[in-house]
Amino acid sequence: MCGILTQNLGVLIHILAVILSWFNPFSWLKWTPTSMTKLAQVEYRILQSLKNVVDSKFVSLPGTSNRIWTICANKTIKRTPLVLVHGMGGGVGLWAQNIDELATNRPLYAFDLLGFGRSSRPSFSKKPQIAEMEFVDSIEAWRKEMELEEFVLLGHSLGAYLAAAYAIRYPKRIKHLILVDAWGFAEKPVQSESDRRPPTWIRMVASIMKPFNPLAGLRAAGPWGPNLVKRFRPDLHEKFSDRFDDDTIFEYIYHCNAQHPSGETGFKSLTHSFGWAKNPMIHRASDLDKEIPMTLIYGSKSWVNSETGYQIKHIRSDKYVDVQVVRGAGHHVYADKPEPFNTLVTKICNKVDGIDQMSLASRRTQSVPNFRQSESKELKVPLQSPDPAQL
Amino acid sequence: MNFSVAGCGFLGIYHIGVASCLKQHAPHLLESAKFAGASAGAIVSCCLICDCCLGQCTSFTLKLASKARSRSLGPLHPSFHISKILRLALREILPENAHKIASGRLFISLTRVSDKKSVLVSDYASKEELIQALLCSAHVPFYSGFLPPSFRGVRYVDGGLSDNLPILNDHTITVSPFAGESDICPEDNSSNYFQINLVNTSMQITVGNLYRLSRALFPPHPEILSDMCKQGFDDCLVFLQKNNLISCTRHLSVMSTITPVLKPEKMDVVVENSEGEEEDTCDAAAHHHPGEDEPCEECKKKLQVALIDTLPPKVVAALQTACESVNNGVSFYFHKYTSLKVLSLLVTPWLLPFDLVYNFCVRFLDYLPSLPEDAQQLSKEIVHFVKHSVYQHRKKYTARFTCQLAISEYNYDIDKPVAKTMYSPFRPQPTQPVVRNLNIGFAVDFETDVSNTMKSLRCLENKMEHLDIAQVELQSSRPGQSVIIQTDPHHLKDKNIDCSQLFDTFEQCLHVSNEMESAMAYYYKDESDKQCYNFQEIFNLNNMEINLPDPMQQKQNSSATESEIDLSWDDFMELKPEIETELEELIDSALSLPEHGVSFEIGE
Repeated sequence: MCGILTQNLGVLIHILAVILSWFNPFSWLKWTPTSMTKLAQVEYRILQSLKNVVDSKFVSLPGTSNRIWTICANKTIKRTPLVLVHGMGGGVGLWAQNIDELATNRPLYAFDLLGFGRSSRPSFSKKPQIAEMEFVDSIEAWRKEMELEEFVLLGHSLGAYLAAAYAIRYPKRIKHLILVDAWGFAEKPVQSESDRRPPTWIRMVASIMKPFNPLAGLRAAGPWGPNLVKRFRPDLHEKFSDRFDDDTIFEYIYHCNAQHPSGETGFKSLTHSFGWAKNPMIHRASDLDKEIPMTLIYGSKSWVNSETGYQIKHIRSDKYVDVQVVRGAGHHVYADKPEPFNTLVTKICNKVDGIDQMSLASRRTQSVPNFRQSESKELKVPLQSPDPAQL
Repeated sequence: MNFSVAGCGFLGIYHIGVASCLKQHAPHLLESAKFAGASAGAIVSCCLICDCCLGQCTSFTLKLASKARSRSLGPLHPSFHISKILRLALREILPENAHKIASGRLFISLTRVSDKKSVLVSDYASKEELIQALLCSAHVPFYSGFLPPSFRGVRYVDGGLSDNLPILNDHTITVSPFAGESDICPEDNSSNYFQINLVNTSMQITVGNLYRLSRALFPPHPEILSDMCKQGFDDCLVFLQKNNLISCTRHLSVMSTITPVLKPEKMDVVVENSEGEEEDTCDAAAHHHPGEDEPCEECKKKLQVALIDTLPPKVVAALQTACESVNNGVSFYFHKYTSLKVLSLLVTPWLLPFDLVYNFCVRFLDYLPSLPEDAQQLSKEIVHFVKHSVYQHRKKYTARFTCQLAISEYNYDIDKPVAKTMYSPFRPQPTQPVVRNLNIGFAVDFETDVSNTMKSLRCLENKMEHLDIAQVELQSSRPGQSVIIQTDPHHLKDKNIDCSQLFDTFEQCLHVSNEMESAMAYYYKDESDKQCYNFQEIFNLNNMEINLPDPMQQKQNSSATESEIDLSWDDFMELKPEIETELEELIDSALSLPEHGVSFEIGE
């Protein structure tokens, strides 16, 4: 009797849950106008503009319920694949201006980091080491599922930090490590006493903000959130104006960040109060396998100081470390100056495969001369600078 | 190379630091550079262009700041007329021919009151007009006064409200006193991820920036201001060094002679150099001309001097006197002792009404002569503004003309396979083997914002007769990347035909597009913006003469053009067979639209 009752109860609860999920009152009263479906729709619009993307799918990570959203292009070509890791608050859609170019003659994979974009949003540990491990493990699990043996790993910002952490733990997988405007490498400078103390009200605001997630305001703003993005980041539209002349990119950024803040919390665990990494990567740069060649790309206008790149070059002085500064680009190097960025990365990847530049030049007549042009233009500036008319 | 200087109120002193560094270390950059800026940025760039004494500018700014700080309400005190003080100072500082120097070189960003749009002004008839433009650009609403000033009869407010950092072209160096993604800006020691972009000025969210923002209109202590000035100088120096822009004039001439003298084997050196890492200009030159070490020694010396260099003595002196005067004056005692500070704050509410009344009277008397004219103008602008904001979101009446031309290409060769899909709405006889049907179309949109239906119809009619190509938006769009819209300017020039004349009427537009294009054109509706049509044409002008008939002649020609179209189409395809597949794709996308044939619709 009792067994039947409990059995029925279970069925009843299940039915109730199904009904509730269909007529979820919360979805009607939702404050922030976002959902995974909306994100998927916007992302579809972005990916549609690409020529090369053939495959997009969820990759389930074994042992967990987590899934990682992956897109790949040119899977069949037998060359070293390139894996792109986006930064904080981003997603695969931000590579819109790079995927086509970078995937011209090699397989390319890009995925939403665990906790960001369309991937699952689990809760991360509060401890920096463990949170970092969770991120890195998810990447390794993804790699196993994708059956990639060796690849070129490219990370931007937070992605660069994680890429470096990954390379330290799984050096065998990395053919070349490309870090673009890497976050989390420099150590927090010691505040000297002589520095001007900020006024009280600013310190008060700062201490109030401390417990919140960095983008909590965006979610709290609810229906005004999309406008907030538009209002405060009009430059995003500028960056992608070649591709989208509507609000696509704003919507994408909004839907990526307005959802449950999981990766954001993970990021917060990795940081001190305002943006400095708790375990700066610069101390671990020497742990990186000697064999792994490294390229650090920085934007000349970015707030990330390229000084750190030269420090790493100094630390790993006996190994291959190349520091490149893309002139005129800000933090989002790949979006600000897609052409020089793409040619730079293509060149690195070709080098990994040992492809002769000259033979390539004859095959792809368009992009290589472009590169020559852009590079010479960039570097000629200082030489020509004395003549103002030419500038 | 151009400079864009951000508006930032009292933080403009940072720009003075930048300006003095540029003047000292990179005068070659300033010679022909154009400057764009808003409010304080515009004023400093104006002073820099006119070669004013920067020391004078610094001391003026500091005087203004300490004056703003002297009263209990700070710059909001009614006796602080910032516009008036600025006007007098600018009259004094700027040379008499300032407007001639500034015309075409100084772009001042203004915000039009009536529609909140940004306007760039760059020509000035007189010195007074230049000053007026600068003041308009520096007019912060309610802070500098209630009534916005007018420039050439139109009222403007602070340019920083619409476009704080106007970008002229790709070679623009941006200068901003806020840490962010500008070329010359302070670097806050922060690793904060988040940055915002306010009215075109990129700002990292840092404690320092918050402080600066709060101090832009309420100036801090002169000491802090002078620190900012130094910071500007240092940041500019760092920028110049990073980009190898510091060099001496003698060195420049050496540099400019390199190219013609080059011998083949030396060419390699240059190429290597341009691809290599950044080097100091001096080293680069030494590399090229090992024999000419002497000028480079001098240059190196100069570079070394620059490394330890700080603000020019005049600016430093101005900063020092300002700091001293603050520390010696009576107001210093007020700031030093808390009790006195509290006392002055307590007294304020009692004195303020009198102050207000007195100052209001003074202002009113000043203003009286120009009152009737101004009031008229202002009321007009307000009406315009209200109208604009009311009608902004109202739906407009639009009319759209779409025209589609189907071309069928027949295959008389029986051996070739026959395509089964029929694109054309006009189905041909089944016995004829159709190879391909092409649809050529274009759309022209008219719109009015008149609310009345009859009126709008009339308006549309009127517009149709005077169709101007400038109003017809031609947009290239993504799928047609490889297809180029060619409007051959040389061709038009030869015939001395203006573009707007060319597409004068609708019929002519139709005719010209028929005659000129001969390849194909297509359009599609923009997904997000319903009123926008993406319109694409391919012109094949290389092997074709355009003769533009009058609307009269056109009817006679019309029969002839039809045959011409087929001919030139074939020509085109023969010339460029590789385009065929691309075209087919384009046609497919064009055909997926529901509209076929000529349609005329008016809707709300």
